[in-house]
Amino acid sequence: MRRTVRAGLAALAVALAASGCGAKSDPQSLADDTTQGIYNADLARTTAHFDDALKSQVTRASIGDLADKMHALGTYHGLKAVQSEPDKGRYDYDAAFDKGTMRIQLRLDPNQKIGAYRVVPVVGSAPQPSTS
Amino acid sequence: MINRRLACLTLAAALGTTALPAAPALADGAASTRNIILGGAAAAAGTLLIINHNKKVHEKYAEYDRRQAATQAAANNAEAAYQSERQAYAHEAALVSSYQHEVSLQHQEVLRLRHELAMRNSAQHVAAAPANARTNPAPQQLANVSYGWGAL
Repeated sequence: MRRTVRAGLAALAVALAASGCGAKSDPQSLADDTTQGIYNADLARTTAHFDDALKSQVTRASIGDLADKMHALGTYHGLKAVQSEPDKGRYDYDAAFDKGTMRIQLRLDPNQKIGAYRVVPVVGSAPQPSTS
Repeated sequence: MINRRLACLTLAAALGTTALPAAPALADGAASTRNIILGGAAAAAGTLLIINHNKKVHEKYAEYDRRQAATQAAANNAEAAYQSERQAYAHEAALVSSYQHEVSLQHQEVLRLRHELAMRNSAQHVAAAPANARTNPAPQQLANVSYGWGAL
């Protein structure tokens, strides 16, 4: 009985340690992966880390529209962390492009799935995109 | 009870018979011998009755004692059974206590692992953002419009 319990606890500890050491679960990696998916108009990659509710809102058209806005700024170079509120699951990053930046705003669910993904143009860094 | 009364009456009759004024003894030897034999028989009968009565009394007392002994034995058995049950309960209680202790230890271990996991996640999140992110946000002006999915 006790041996079984101890074995279970050991397995739990290993699982927790493994989950804590996960390589691709940090918010910046999730945001970068999603941003690259949008930039490449890749639906599967874009929604790979979305939760089910958010996945249902995504269409190929909306991804294409956002990809066009990003391509208007040139080549995507990556993200830079700007602000984070882990207790609320909120993270902001600046996405760097050749001709400017865009603010990527992320909300993570407790299960490390993306519950919201917003892109805000930075004024003055690029020509104002047309609202849609 | 009836036996006792019969025995008493018989004894009283025997005693009464002996106490009655005897007829004046005749001078002949045959009468004297007969009287002696009758008296001896009466005495023997009374003695037998008394012995029988005593036997009955002793039998009653023996039966009473046996009943008492049986009752005592039953009581002793009940006491022994109670002691056994009590010991069994004490063992069960000790077992339950050990289980409770084990559960408590497991709960503490789970809490410790949860805390460790939270600390790891927190460390990752802090590492992901610059240290001065809150105090010195980037001086950039954001547009009033945003694109994407979901509510922040």
